[in-house]
Amino acid sequence: MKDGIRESLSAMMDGEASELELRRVLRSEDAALRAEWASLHRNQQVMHDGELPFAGLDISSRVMAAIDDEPSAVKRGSSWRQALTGMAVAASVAAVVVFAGSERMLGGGTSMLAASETSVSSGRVYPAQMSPANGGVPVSAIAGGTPSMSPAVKSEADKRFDVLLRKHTERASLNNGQGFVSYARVVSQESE
Amino acid sequence: MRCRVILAVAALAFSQASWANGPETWLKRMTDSHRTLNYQGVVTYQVDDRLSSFKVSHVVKDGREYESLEALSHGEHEVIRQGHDISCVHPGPELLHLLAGDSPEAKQLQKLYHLSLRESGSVAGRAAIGLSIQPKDVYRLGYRLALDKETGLLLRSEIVNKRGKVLERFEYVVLDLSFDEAALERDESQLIAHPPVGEQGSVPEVNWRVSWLPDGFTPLAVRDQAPSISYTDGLAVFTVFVESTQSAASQSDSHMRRGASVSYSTTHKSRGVRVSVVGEIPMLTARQVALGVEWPE
Repeated sequence: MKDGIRESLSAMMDGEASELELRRVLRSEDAALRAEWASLHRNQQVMHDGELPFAGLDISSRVMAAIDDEPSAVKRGSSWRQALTGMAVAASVAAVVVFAGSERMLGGGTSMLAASETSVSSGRVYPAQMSPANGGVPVSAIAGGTPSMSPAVKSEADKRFDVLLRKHTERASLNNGQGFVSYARVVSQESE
Repeated sequence: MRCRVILAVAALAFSQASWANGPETWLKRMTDSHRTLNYQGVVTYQVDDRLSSFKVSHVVKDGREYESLEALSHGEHEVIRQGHDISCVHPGPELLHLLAGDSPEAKQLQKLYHLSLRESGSVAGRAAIGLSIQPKDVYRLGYRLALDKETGLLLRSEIVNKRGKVLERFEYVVLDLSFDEAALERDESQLIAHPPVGEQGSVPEVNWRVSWLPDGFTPLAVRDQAPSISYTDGLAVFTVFVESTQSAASQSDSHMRRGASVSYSTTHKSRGVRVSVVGEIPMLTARQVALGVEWPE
């Protein structure tokens, strides 16, 4: 896989891919790339709620048609063969965009607080509203149609992250050359 | 006229002095200085538009480190304590320690990152030198550092992604390098040393392995023998946790992000375990490592 494409993929996971990149990847004939995309959401379920994701985004008609024809995307355990079809790729796009958008603190300058109100990874991926075609603006799917997670589950996920991050930081602070100021990462969160 | 030329040459020579040492030498100084110097200061930690500040104290007494980090911004005064034998060498800094000229370690780091020095304004009232560290692949993050010209102490650190977006920023706003043992006695209640350190540690034994790692990452020998393994390339660190899980809520993949830190978790139902990768790395790397964990038969 070309480095440029891989970088786009990485940016997508970080919610920072531009629409232009999204289109470029959509049109890619690179099988490895499509496989990567398919695998990105293999364990995710996409629910449509009767609405078409990407409603405002003008992507290739082939992909739009594929999304139209696909009522509930690719389920867990789908075969690689199926995953590699155009349909699966189209669904992957939806999954990737929402996947990236459901992260905390992602997308055009959303603050941590605002993001954590609306988004936590629930393990399930929902289609969210895409911003209309608008050139170089990062593709982000925060808020919009993302159903909110129950506060209990949300705080559970936060707690787990805190515990693991603290354990990780105990080791990282001795090894990242920055020393124990690394603990600010843990403390700043706990004392919110 | 001649006088002016000489002056200009002298000024040039002076400004070149801090550049005479390569970026690798500065990295080495950085990892030494924060453990061997006495200092107290206020450091800010910024993620997006959120800013927290901390009082940092560090003293070396009788060959042992005493340090504290106290949150100033949120009312609560939580003190994080840590400290250990100054002679205790950790594998991450060890990689950087070995950096010198054209050593294999320096070459290895140069394979992974572009290192360059640049001018930097002063930070916390101290003259600083800028060190830019850019990853050569998509599997790690970049660093923009400002180091104290006199001591090499890290004054400002920005972790940036491939797109140049700053994910988190540490920066001293006040720094006092004359903090000493007398201060230690005054502040003893807040400066607690680490328990005595025995051996250097080893890589924890686990029944799983990672089938994929980005170039240059090696497992860390650690003293806590928790069943998780941390990996470093000398700058970035991430940790792989494998925990048993019964929770139905955590059956599918999930991911979190806070500043430069991310976690990616995936569940292996048949084994009843959840694999989580946590570290200051791109989400793509965390995911790829997490999905690559396997159990040799």
